[in-house]
Amino acid sequence: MHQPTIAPAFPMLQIQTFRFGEPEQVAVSPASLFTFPEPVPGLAESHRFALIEDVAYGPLKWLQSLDEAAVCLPVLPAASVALPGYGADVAAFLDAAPDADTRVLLVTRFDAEAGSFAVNLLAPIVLDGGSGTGRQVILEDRSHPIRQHIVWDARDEVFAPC
Amino acid sequence: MLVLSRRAGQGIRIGDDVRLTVVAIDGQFVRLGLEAPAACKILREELWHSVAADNKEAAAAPTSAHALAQAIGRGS
Repeated sequence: MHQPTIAPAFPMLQIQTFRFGEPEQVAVSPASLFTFPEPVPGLAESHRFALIEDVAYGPLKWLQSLDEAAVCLPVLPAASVALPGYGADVAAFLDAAPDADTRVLLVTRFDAEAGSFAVNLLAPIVLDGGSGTGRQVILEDRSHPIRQHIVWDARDEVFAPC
Repeated sequence: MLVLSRRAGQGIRIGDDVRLTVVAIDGQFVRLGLEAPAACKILREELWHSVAADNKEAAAAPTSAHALAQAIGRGS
């Protein structure tokens, strides 16, 4: 009897990224694709993003736009930055209580003027794995800075505000 | 754009469930009161613009990723 070929339930997808400025193909799982129903400020043409995770880069991840190849946001999980109370502040802005499928990411970049790294605490990106959607939440009136400088603590493998 | 004149204490209704009130006027500053359903996002416009500028800069700065990866001892 003919044995049907069984495809993997969730085949990996190849996407193009410019995370390091040069075109590169990386594999992501379908569970790493997120739709942003509301426009991301400044990136209005991008509604679909792939979360690129790579153990080689520790906590650093990327949100690669699937609509605009040149748009790729470096992000850090909020949990990788030592910020007491921040998770509760973000949760207060969400429609539903965060669960195991909720991921809070901070847009990060190198601040050449200050010579250090900074994360955007004012507007975290919240991904919901259950629905496959994401959005950038602006924490109005919570006094979180748009540019919080951070320093890597190699011993505890966590970023500390500085 | 619809432009209306209001005095302190007067208000405007937008749709069925949004109410904007001019609480006080003090020189260059106007204090506004807003009543709206929780699902209605209210945001000072300059905050949105600052987030937009930050996103654009971060999305187009791949050198950040290199430098960040190196800083945490994971880059080449």
